[in-house]
Amino acid sequence: MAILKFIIDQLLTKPPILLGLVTLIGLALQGKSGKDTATGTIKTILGISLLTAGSGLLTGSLKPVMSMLYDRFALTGVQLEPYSGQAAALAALKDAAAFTGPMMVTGFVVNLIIARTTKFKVVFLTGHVMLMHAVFMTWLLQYMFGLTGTTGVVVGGILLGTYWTLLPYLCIKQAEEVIGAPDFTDGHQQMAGVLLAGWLAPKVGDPKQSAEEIHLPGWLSILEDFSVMSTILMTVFFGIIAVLAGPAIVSKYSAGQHWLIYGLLRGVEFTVALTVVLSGVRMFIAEIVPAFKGISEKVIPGAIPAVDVAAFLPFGPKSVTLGFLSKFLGEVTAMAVLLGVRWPVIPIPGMIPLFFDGGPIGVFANKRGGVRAVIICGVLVGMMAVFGVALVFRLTGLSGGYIGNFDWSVFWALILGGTKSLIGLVRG
Amino acid sequence: MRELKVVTVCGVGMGSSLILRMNTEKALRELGVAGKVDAIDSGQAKGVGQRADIVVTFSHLAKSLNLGGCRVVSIVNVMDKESLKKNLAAAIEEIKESEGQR
Repeated sequence: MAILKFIIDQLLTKPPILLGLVTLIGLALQGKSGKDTATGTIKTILGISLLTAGSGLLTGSLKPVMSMLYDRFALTGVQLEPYSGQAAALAALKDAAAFTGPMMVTGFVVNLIIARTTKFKVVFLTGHVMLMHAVFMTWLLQYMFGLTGTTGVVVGGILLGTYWTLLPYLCIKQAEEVIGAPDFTDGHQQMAGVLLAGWLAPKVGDPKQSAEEIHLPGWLSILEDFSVMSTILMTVFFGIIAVLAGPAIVSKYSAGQHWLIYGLLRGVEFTVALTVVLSGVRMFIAEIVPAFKGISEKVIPGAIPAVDVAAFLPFGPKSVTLGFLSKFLGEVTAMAVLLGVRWPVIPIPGMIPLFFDGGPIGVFANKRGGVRAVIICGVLVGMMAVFGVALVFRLTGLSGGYIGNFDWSVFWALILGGTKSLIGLVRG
Repeated sequence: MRELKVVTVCGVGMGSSLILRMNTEKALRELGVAGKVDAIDSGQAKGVGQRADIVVTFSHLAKSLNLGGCRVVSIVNVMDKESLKKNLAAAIEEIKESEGQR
C-alpha cells in the first residue's frame, strides 16, 4: 500500500509527470523509437513546467493593473484571455491544481468510450484547450459545488468527455458546409457559439451577400500576428486604465517610474508572459497530441477528428477579420453598458477569444447568412461573452482572468450556474 | 536524397499546424523521403525560408508571410491528405531538379 500511496501522491497527481507518462505510453503504442519516445516524454514534462512558470509571470503582470482599477473605482477587472484565466484559476486552486492532469486524461478516456460505443464518432484532439478545460472544470466544480479530489475528477471527467464528444458532433453538419467534406469538425471552445450562429444566420441575413466579396484594407492582416496584436491591444487597454486611475494611484505600484510609461509597459509585459506560457504549451502539445492521436486511432479507427477551430479560418479570410471586428465591437459595447450601470466586475477584452471566437463564428455565419449575419452574430457573441463572465464573476468571486471563449463564458456558465441555482431551490 | 527540413505554420503554432505536421510526416513516409518536420507559429515563420526546404501553411497565411526562397505548399483543408501529398511530391521534385543542376 505504501508503494501505491507513493505512486498516487508523488507521481500521478503531478501534472508534468502524469502527462509525461501519457506521452510515453502513447508513443510506445505507436512503436516509436526509444530516442523519439524519450524526447517526447521529456519535452512534455518540460513544457508543462514552463507553462506553470509562465502562468506565475502572467498573474504577476496583471495584478497591479487590476488593483489600480479596484483602487480607483472599486471595480474588479477580469481579463478575457484563456491563458491569464488559466493562470488565475491555477493560483486559486493551489494544491488542488494537481487534479487537473488526471481530469484531462479521464475526460479523454470518456471521449474515447462514448465514441467507441455510440454513433457519436468524434475524437477531440486539441490538447492545449483540453488542459485548459480541465483547469476551469476543476475550479468551477470545487468553487461552485465543493466537489474536489477523486469525486471531482470523475464528475469533471465525465462532463468534459461528454462535452468533447457531443458538441463537436453537433457541429459536423456546419463544418461540412464550410469545408465541403466531412473531414473534421470544431474541437475547441466555441462549439455552442458556432451552433448559435448556424441557427441565427439564415434568419438575419442572406448567404448570397457573402462577406468574402467585400473589400477590406490590407493592413488588417496585422490581426494574424498575435504577439504584435496582443501588445497593441493590451498597451491601449492598460494605458486607458492607468489614465483613468491617475498618477496618484499608479505611483503606488510603479516604484518611481513615470506613471503613464509604467501603465503602457504593463501591456508589453503581459505579452511577454503570454509568450512564455504559449511556448510551454506549444512544447508539450507538440508531443502529447500525436500520442493522443495514436491512442485514438488504435481504439476508434475512422472517427472524425475534432481539431483546433483555426482549421476553418482559410475557408473565409475576410469573414474572419469582419467577425473579429464585430466581436470586438460587441465586447466594448457590453463593457460600456456595465461601466454605465456601475457593475462591480468589468471584463476586459483579450486577443485570443476575439480572434478564435469572432473569426471562425464569422466564417460559419457567412456560410448561412452572408455579411449581415457575420456582423450580427459577431456583436451578439461578444456581448453575451462579456455579460456572461460579468455574471459568473459576480456570483463566484475569482479575480484576474477568465477564459473568455463562448462555451465557457455562456454555455458552461449557464449549465453550472443553473444547476447551482436549482440545488439552492431544492434545498430551500 | 538528403533529409529535408520542413516546417508547418499556423497562427499560434499548436493547433492546426500540429495536425499539418502529423499529416506531412505521414506523407513523407509514404513518398519514401526522409524529413524532419516542425510546427511553428506565424511570428516565428518570418524568414524561416532561409532555414527550411519546404514550408507547409494555409493559403491565407502564405501571402502575408515573408518566406524567402523556399518551396511553399499552400493548404486550404487541413485534413485533405491527398492534395497535401501531391503538392509535397511536386515540391520535392523541384528541389531534386534544382540540386541536380548545381
